[in-house]
Amino acid sequence: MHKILLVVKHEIITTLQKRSFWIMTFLFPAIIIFFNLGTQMIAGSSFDQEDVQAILTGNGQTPDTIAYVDEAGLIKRLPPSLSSNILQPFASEAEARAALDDGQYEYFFLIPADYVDSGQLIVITRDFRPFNTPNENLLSFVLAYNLTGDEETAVAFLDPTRTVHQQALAPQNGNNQNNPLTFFVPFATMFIFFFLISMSSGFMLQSVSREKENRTVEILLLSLRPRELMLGKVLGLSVVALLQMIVWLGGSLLALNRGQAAFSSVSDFTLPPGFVIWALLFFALGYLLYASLMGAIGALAPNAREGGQFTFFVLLPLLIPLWLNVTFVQSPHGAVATALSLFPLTAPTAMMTRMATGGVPTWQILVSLAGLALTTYVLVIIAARFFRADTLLSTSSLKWQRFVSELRQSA
Amino acid sequence: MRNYWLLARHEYRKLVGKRSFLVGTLGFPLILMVVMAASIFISIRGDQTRPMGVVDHAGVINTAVAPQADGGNELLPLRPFPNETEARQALTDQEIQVFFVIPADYRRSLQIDAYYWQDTPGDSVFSDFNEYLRINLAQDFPANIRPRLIDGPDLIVRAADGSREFNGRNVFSFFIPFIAAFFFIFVVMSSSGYLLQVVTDEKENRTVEIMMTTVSPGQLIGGKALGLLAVSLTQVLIWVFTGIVAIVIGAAFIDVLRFISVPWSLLLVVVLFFIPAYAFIAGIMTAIGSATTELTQAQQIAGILNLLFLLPFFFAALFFANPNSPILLFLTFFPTSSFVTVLMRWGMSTVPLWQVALSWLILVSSALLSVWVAARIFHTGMLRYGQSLSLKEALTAVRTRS
Repeated sequence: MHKILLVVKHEIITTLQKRSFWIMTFLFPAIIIFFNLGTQMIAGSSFDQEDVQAILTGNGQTPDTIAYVDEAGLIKRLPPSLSSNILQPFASEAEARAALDDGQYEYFFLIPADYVDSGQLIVITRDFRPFNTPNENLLSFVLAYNLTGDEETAVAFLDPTRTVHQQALAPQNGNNQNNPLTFFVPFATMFIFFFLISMSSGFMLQSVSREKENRTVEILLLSLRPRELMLGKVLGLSVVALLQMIVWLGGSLLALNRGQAAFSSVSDFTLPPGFVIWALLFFALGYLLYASLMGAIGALAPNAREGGQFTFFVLLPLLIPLWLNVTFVQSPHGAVATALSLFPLTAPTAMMTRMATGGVPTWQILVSLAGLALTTYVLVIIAARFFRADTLLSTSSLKWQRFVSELRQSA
Repeated sequence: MRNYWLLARHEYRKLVGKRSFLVGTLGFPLILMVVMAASIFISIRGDQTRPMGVVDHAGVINTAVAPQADGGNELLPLRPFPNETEARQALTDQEIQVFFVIPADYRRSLQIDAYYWQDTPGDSVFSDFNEYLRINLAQDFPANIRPRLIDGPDLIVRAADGSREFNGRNVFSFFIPFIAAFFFIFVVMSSSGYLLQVVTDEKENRTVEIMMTTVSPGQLIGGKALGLLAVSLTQVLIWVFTGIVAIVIGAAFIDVLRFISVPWSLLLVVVLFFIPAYAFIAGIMTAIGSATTELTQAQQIAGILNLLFLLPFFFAALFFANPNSPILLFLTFFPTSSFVTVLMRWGMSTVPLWQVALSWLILVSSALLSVWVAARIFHTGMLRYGQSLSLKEALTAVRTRS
């Protein structure tokens, strides 16, 4: 027991002393948040598609003057709600081009003579950006107005359903579907759980293979048994992982809590009761499962490089819910999401994601947890079989066949 | 010269012969395709075909007006209900997937209510319903202007100098540069891992000591980098070939694919930029690999550097919104991001020639510098065992004349 505690202490201290650990714990989420939110804000603000309704009621930004050439002779009147200086007609394409070359305008619209039949509306622009044409909506509106002669109808053609109140008749989720957090929180939960489990089990692989590589393990095995070494490492790294979890999950929960005062959308959002306790349980079991698997790989692989080639396959089940994240948002209680959350290897990420959306029946949580516990137990025992003196001391390379042969040898 | 060739050939044979190369080349796209197919299958399956319901208090929807199926996109069937109670019943019985209530003041407010059972209906449901509304609203107008009202204008964007045109049909051509950029990043990611370890094998089994008697450090690194480049190119060519075959086959079934034309000017840019960009990365990665002894340590530094190469992708939305924004201009000239940025801007916009030229010059000089620095650091670190070069030592190694 004393020896195991020594290993635990050693693992905690060495991991916490690593600079990379702290970088990953604090810098990594910061980078993710910066790149996701920061760039979205930059991009979002430059997609300046004007809101016609807002302009008409005088709430929107006054748009720049739109230059156009109307070869179809379609625009005869301006919508009364629109101030008259918004549109600047040119008699011919040549005149408009001259104004463009003078730098008076960045672009102009050309309405071909056969517009009503072909529907082609041409933009000639100096700053070519095909996916973001300013004032496209406003000109469509003016064209629709001249075709229909009525402002309200023209607006309706632009967007026939300006506001949609959505309501579920049998809501399983406790949260309002119109609230953006309903989508964001499960996403965040999924990512946090994936990174926590894959990172902390990655530490396990690193720790085992490093000691194998620099032959410290030969000395260690003089004074303690392989299983003790494994247990100590798993326990020690679990403390580290827990610390990371407190930082990440606690930070997110705190942000959610603090945000309640600032944004009304946040105060509408509630996580199911006991979420933190369930999160801890699923995380603890998920960590145990994957850490012992990675430990087994570390014990078999001659060095970190060869072991690293297998981590992808081991972590594959954790990745699957991440790939299918669309399903979890669209129908968190559909067949696929439910199956993934009950299957033990995918349960840690999948079930937590579903729980963050709310409305998971308690029996499913319990079944999933029981399955996970059982699988973890079995896999830890199997992993422990790979953790033997002869595997730890051997330098033979890691192949798929070796998993089978080593397992047979130990049985 | 012969030494470069020997080293490159050795490195190429060593990697291409491995099973992991085959698995990576064939397995990776396979997994990607399976995952994509699975998620597409899941998202289009199931409830999507059940009809929608509508309770119309405004008298907008006339079900006698059947929508014409255009372009093979058939709208979901729409069933009218006299009141909410019956619609609710039909929803409970799973006959419909959603019903909309159009209030009496709809024409002024443009407000509707949507009721569904449990899961939010997909976007296609809402866009289908919008289409129904447009078609019905258009019935009050002469038949010749209806298509304009329903579909709106069909936008064609032309560059003022006439060099580019976007017309909705050639939309796929605009994504080719993105795909090319992805390939490049993949090459960088996969070979940077190898480049980090390029000398570890030889160092571990001390072959490097013997090799040093016949080749110079520059030759050793250059030859190995060439070999790795060939490996990555083999991989990319296999994929590009598969992609071209897929497009040719797909063109028979999907209309948009028929309008793909080979972007020759883009190919020129790729050829011009690829070699210096790769040399630049190879230099950086070998420098890190030879300065550090532990692989995990090297990987961490390389991981952060990889982010610099990925930088343009974080701003992907900006390429669509404003391809000539100051941020992207900066990324055009910054050596780690220049190749990908130039590629993606090339696709989305017209890039002034001076910007391409300046960006290329910066990249080439950075590449020369990084290769030179790498050779210096490797020279100092090659015969060291179990001891990393500190940043200070690395700097001194670069500065001192040999």
